[in-house]
Amino acid sequence: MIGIQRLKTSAPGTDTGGAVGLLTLDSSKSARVSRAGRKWGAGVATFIAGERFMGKARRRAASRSTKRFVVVVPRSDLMKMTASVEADPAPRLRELAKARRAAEA
Amino acid sequence: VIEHSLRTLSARHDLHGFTSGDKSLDGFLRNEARKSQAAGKSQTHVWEAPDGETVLAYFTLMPTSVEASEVGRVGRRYRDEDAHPAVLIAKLALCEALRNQGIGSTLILDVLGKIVEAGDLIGGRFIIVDARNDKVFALYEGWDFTPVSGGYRLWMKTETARAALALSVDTGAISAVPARGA
Repeated sequence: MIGIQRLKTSAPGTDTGGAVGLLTLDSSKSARVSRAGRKWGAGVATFIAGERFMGKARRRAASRSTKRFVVVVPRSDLMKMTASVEADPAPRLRELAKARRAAEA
Repeated sequence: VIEHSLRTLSARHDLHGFTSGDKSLDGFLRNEARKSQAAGKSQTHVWEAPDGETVLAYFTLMPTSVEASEVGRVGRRYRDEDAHPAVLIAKLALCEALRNQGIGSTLILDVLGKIVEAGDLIGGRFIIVDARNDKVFALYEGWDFTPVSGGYRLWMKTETARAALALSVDTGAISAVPARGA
């Protein structure tokens, strides 16, 4: 399963056009996009990208320019996606704690 | 990191020697912190210098609740609840001599550590802070707190703090993640 992420792009080919949604891939190979509590079936979003987008999402997650992403992928690639992009909700705090532990060690 | 011990505020602490540069925070520590503690309203914890009396920093925590609407989508997970149990960081101050050295970041780790510890005992889903001004607001944002729109209130999930501090759920003890096979 790919984590729940938020779409922050208006990448060409998406009919969501930069909308915010949540994408969850489940074991039934279907994709669900939910927005404002609504559940949309697979196919509502036009799936794009792939590894290139995942790389971008990872970088943005790392820099925490956004907290969550929707990873929009070609439907045919759904099962190929194994990477998980889970943005850390408290990266700076984690670094501080890590630095403190290192200093105390 | 400056040498200190984290203690609950007690009679032996010299509060009049503490100066943070903010009169209201100094005044609270000197005149109200002990009273509030005795009344069971809040608990104040101090960074105690090695002499056992000098206060280098303090923070005051108290139980509170936060409206479900204030914490956005996270709150909607608990649909049947209008408000969530939380801990309020009511006061936090560092003595003037230690400011602008990044020591505040160490202090917030102690604050969050205490809150997570308390959460293990009595629960508490969120950590809340009401920033007094833009500077304080930015400080908490820099520590990954999420602002409530339209105000100076910020929040963080207690679980987020626990994870960031790598605190174990069972004991609340600070522990480094062991290496594989260790």
